[in-house]
Amino acid sequence: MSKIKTTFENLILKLENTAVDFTTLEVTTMTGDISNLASSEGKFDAKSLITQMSDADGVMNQKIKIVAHSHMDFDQDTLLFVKEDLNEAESKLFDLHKEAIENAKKSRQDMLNFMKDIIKGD
Amino acid sequence: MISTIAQEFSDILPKKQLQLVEETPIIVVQSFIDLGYFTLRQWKSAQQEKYLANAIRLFRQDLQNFKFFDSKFIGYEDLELSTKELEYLQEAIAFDNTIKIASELQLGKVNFASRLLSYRINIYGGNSNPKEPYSLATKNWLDNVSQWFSINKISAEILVDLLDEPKKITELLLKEPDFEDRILYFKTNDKKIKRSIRGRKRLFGKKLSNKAYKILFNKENLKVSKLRSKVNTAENLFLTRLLQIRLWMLGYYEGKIDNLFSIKTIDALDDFLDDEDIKFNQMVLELRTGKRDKAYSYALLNAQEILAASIDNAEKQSDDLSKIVVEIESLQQSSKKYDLEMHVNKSISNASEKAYNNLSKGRRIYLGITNFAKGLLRGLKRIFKKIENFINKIKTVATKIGKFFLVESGKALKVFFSGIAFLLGKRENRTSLGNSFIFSKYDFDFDQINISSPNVKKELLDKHIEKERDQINSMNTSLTVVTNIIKWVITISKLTTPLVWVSFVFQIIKEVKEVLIKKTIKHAF
Repeated sequence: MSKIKTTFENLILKLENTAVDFTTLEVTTMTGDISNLASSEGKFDAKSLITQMSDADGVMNQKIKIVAHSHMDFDQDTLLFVKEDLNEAESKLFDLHKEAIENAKKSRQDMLNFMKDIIKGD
Repeated sequence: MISTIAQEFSDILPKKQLQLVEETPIIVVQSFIDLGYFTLRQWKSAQQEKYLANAIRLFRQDLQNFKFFDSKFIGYEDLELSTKELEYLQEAIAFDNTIKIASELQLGKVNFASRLLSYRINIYGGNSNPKEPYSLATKNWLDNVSQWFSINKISAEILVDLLDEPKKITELLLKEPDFEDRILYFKTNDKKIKRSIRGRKRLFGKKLSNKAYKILFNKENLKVSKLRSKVNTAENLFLTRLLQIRLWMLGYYEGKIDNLFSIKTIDALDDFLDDEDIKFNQMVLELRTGKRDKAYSYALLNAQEILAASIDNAEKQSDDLSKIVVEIESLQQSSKKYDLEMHVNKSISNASEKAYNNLSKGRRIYLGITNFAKGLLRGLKRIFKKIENFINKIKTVATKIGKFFLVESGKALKVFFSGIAFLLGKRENRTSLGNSFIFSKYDFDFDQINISSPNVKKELLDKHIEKERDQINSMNTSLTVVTNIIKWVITISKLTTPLVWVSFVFQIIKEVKEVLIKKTIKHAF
């Protein structure tokens, strides 16, 4: 009985996390030695990114640096982290970051419109 | 000048014609016919004075010839012909083809013998212009002479027997056929064809062609009111005679050829009109109201008969080449007897010409038919080729349009599937340039992680940004299309029954399977 309760609680937690996740937007831009992050098929391996970013003691791997990070809540509260002293290449990457934020917002808007049209049904 | 000649003409015609009623042989009547025909035919011509003068001259000449012949041919010794000339005359009478020989002596008497025959030919539907009795046309009508001999049962043997009695020969030649026994037999292609008294569509025992019949029995020829209203004029005495001769030929009239529009004549005419289903009163009315050109049409009467007989004769001639051979043999024998090699040669050349003409005619017909068939085939081929070209053009245009749509729809589908792929599966971008590269990894809710190799170049970055923009746009397009499709499906499902909707879906699936998956998608990716 307790197992069912635990499962149910986990399910609710997952749904809650998903909802929260869906209502927030996070964009992270990094640079560094990422040759080990690409899989043999040329795909981006997100799991290995986490591993690469931290060593066994939880210290950040110095091989990969965060250039910028943005967090945007549902109510448009925004947190923007930018590495200090950006060099020329990193400045360019920051442009990519800004572009990514715009794209993400646009994509969300499109998706919301899509869902609205479907629900509206005319 | 015209008035003088016309006066002379009118002075002669009624006087002579009235005198001819009871006693004059039909040859003189035919002189009038020729004169009247000749005059009336040319009346509207610009050279009418010349023609009229010529007609009167011919008429007088014929009368003189007739008088001469009549007076001189009574007895053998009074004829004042040489033995040779008489032999020729005998030939002229006995063998119709040798009239040409006789005529070449250019003697009025012998000339008249052939002219006499041509008159008889005229009366029985043939024509021989009295001015030119020796022409090829005259020769062609000599078949009618032999028919005339047949009617009167004149054979070469009889004529030979009567050599010492020229008067009897004359009587025999001038004898009218027996009215009571006018059932005529003629040899045509070795078959005896019976001509009934009321038989129509036949002339001299031969079936007339439709064209000849149409000309000969044209309703326009019978101008009754002309005869009724002006029966006492010289012109219509002549016309009445023509009518009587015509009706006699057709077997309707059995009285005398007396120029009088008598009850017998009217009855015969009525019979003819009944048989021909012509409404007499209506016709009279039309004639009186001047709907028809009377005099000129009557003048053509003779010409039409001539034409009909000519057509008939031409048909006969073309049928029987063997007769020409017999003719040649006959002439060859004659030439031995009478030393007429020159004429034999001429006859042979004429016969050869005839044979050549007949062969040429046949060849022309054959070539005509084959050329027509070839032309027809060529025409059909051209038509089919044009149709084929037209279809090919349509095919080409349709193919081009199809290709255009395929390419365009391929591009559109490429965008669409790119967006769908980005939305549903391929949620990462990788752009590389040399050793440098950039990854963008998207989360389900469009959270994004960008990571690049150090010291990324601007060129690579621009390329990556452009790529991302493209993907976002594609996604937008795809979402729009999907939205629209869903809307359409909903609309259709509302409008149609479920069954139709299901079949519509199946149809779409089928089309997509056949066209898009096989061609478009392959082309797009």
